[in-house]
Amino acid sequence: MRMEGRYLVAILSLLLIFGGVYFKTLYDVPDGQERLNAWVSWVLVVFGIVGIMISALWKSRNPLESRHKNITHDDDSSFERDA
Amino acid sequence: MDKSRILILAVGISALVAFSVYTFSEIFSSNVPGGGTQIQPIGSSSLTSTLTKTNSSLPPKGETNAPHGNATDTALSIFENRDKPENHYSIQFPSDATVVHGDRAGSYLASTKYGTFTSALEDIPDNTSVQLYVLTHDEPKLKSSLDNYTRVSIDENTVSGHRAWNLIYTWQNATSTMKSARTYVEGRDQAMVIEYTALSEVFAKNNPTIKSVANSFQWIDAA
Repeated sequence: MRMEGRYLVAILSLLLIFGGVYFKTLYDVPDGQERLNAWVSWVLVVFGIVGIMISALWKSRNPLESRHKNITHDDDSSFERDA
Repeated sequence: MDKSRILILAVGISALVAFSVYTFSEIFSSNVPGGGTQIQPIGSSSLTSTLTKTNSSLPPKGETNAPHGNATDTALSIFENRDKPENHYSIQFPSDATVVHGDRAGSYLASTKYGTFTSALEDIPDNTSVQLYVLTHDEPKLKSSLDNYTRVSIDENTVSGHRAWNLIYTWQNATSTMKSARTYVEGRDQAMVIEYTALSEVFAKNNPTIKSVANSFQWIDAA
């Protein structure tokens, strides 16, 4: 079974977000390292959010897949029209 | 571009902006005074009466707050520190002391003619305890940095409901023997270190003041 790229990106992005939130809220930051901690957690969360956005906006390049979606959509519309 | 894509973009960008504001507002809006900035007390304390009761050479009535050259006669002033989130505290220093902010956030330095008090926050790693930290980290550091470091005592007690450890030691500066007392008070996030340093012969006379300052310490908003 092959995992779709968008799901892999989404899972990795979630891990990044959890890491960033952990560093920001639960991690015991050593004295004087507060700025570094803030930057690291910010970068992790930003990459995570961008990753989630990418996976949500992911457009398949498989023409069959988009054709299949269009056909399904058309079928639904014709079914609604017939009804 | 369809509506769902616009919605995803809007939610994503809002999340980015919100997290950025949350992260950096704490850092850049910090209003911690610089080292050496004089700090004004927020009030004075009633601890003096308790203090003078323990003193065998009580001054005449009505002069309990006047400086007499004896540290036990000195009134205390209340200071509050809110430099670090989760580590707000209040402490009282003798009212004749000049109190300035230390170099680090959350630290005060109070100079009196009888010696110097400092209060500073100490970051204790999660994988150790205050007592272990004192014995394995702070004391070795003192031994290596002070001439003729000698531990006088270390004992456990309680300061405003929190476990605390008192470390008393002597050391040698260029001209004389000094004596210091450090009180480490456990906190929710960091520990508080209250230190008093004076000439060895002056130290004993100021024991009641040292105790009053240490016992006046309180964590603010602590659970």
